[in-house]
Amino acid sequence: MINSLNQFAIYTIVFFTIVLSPLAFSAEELSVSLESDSNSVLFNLTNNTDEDLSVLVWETPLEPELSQDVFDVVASVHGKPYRYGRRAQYLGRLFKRAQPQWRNYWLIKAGETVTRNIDISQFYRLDADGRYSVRFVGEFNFLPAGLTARMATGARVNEQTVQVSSEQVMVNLQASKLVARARAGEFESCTASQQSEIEDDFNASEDITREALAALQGLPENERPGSPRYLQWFGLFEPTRYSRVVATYQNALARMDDGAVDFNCGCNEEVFAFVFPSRPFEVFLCNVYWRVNQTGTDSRAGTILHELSHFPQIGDTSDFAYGQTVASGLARTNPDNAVINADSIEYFAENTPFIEISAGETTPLQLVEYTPLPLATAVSADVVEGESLIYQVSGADFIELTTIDGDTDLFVYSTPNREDQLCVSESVGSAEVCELSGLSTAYIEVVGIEDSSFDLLAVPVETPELVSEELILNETLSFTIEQDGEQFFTVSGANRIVLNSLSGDADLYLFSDPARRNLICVANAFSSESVLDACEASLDTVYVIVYGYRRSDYTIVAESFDSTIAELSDDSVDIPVVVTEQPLVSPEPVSVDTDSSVAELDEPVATNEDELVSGDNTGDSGGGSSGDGSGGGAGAGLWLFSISFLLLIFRRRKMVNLGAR
Amino acid sequence: MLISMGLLMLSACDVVPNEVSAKQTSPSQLVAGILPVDVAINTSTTEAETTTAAAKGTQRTNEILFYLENNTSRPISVLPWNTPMEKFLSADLFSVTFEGKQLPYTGRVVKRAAPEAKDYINLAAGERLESLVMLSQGYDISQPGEYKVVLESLSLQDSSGVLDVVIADTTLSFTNTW
Repeated sequence: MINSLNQFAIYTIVFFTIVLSPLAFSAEELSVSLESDSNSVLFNLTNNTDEDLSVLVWETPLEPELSQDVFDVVASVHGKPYRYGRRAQYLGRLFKRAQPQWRNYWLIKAGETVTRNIDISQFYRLDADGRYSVRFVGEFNFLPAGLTARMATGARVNEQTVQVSSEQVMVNLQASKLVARARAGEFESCTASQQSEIEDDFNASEDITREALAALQGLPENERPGSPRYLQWFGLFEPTRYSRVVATYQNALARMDDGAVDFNCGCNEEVFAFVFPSRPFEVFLCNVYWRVNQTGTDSRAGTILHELSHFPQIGDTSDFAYGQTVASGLARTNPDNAVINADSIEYFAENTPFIEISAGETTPLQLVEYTPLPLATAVSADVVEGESLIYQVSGADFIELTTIDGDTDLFVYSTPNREDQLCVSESVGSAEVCELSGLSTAYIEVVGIEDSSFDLLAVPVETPELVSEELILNETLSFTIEQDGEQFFTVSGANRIVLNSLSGDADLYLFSDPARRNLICVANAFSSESVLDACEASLDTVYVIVYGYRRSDYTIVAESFDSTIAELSDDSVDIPVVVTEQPLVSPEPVSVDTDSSVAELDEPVATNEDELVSGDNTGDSGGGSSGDGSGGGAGAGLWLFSISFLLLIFRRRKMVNLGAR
Repeated sequence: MLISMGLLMLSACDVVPNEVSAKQTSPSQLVAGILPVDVAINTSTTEAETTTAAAKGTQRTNEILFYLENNTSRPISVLPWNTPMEKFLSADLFSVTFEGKQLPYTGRVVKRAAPEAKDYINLAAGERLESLVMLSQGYDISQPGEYKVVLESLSLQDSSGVLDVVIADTTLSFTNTW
């Protein structure tokens, strides 16, 4: 009797431990899973708690019209998620909301799952029919059902917020039906290539306008007075001025989306562009426009927005101040003019150098003009004794002040009102250094102890150094790569890079730049016939990433046909024969986890790519999907808490890794 | 010095300069103003004399004359952008009324790059610059009737900042009869 009770207890413990561990220790009261449905995505939102919850539908897929950019949608390559692909552009609207009412909440019972069918192609720009990877990354506001969200003061109490992300699914989707998205209108005196450039620039202009609008609308009201980005270009916060700026971006975006903007290329003056505000909506593009970049400061995208803002229907802006320096001065001295200054509208949207929109909830006591400090570029300046110069920078790791002549001191603050001093700088040689320890926006003051000249440098947060191995031409090397791992190579003088996955699946990506941003070739096929991926190397030096789609033992060789021929003719050199089918044994022992590789080779090699891919996803998402429908056992789960503590810790760590973004 | 101008009777287009020209408040200043096109200026005396424009028959109401005098003792380098010194009017610089009603600016506005040395115009001490401004580039003066023009806004800059300039208090009147 006792034995069987013990047995029962043990089984119960084990059962509930496995079933309830994600519940008891999951950070997510709500979880999302996605499924593929013919040409759309099923969005499943689960209430993992043991009480009914009211979830605010705003800015979530629970709304009939998606109003927040919450999906990562990336076109696949050969049916597999494209590792280095760009997210599809969000096309949905952004809304300005008042306080939510009870009817804006959706009741999800304990353990229940709510499903919505999302037409992704309507809200994200998909240029072609095909297979896409889709993932949800967003947040939910919820409260226990039955409680109201709002007090008489308007404050939203009882509401909790949770960040939720889903696993990735592969979905067949159709191209977006919106054909005329941000299309330019008529062209006058423009060549065909000018027309196509303008179409592209126009889309880029829409992107920065959309982002500017989202930044302003999305900023909580209590954070607006302290917004570094708003302060820089529009000066002291004031509600009607803020609304005026929002309206300008809204009108510009509406014009870009729905209406037509005509472009005239017949101008030959040494200016960027002009418009006749009384003659909407024709924009004349001139010589300087064609010489500048599409994005950045005083860019083409910014110029289009600048010119559109001049039209009374859009922003009725004037040109009070040209250039970033004068425009930021205008923000400080005359914010009423700054919000109707076309260059200010442009610079806020371009946001280069980057300035954060939010500095948290702060109330600047006094507006001061901060010069934006670019990253990784030393700025030289002079300061008079007794005075100080002030700068702001975002994304820096540390600040370095070098006094060339005289004597200066460095102060760094974390808030615009310079009340929270971040660090007292330390002298390092002739330089003073202040570490920012992850502070996103810093406010810097250089004080002149004497009349001085100095250099000020903001060193950006380091991107992890890419340790890149140099490939020797025509020498085959063997490696093992973990799932989701990346290995970097560089090679010069190759004609072709060949990657052979002996086991598992490794994919080959070729870039033309050391930072590996400019992709020139992807070879990531998977088929039962061959595991060879090859890319033509069309440049002298190429930068390679091998990506472990699944854990793989692979060989890689950079082939050079010319040098092979040349070397063959040179009898004095021992030439290794280039072999692609049978890898040479690597000089260094490759540690292979024989168990897992054998297991992978034994896997049924399906000809249906879908099965394979979805099979992988199921394996990967073990952590996320095991929490379904188990709300009832919470009581017993608590009873088992102390016993299964250690086990749960280990399980949770695994789930976190698998679910990590 | 006070200078008075008489009424000019013209067959087709009338220009009736109303009032009187610059009165210099201090000897060393930048002075700017507008004049009807066919009024000649005797620079040594800074007197404006009327001409027999009727005889010339070349009066065009479309154009007015802008002048800038450097009466300081030093040369200046001034940026012509968004001033009447530009070839094509690119800013709302004038107050133009038609039959008493203010006309809106219907000209262009321009985005420019940062100025370089070559973009500035140099004016030696004592030198005077004149430029023709086509009013129709910025204001609709095509209707028959009476117009008045005043130079309302002038922002002159050199490479280091804004220059002080005195704007002569002149109102030009003309009547379009076509």
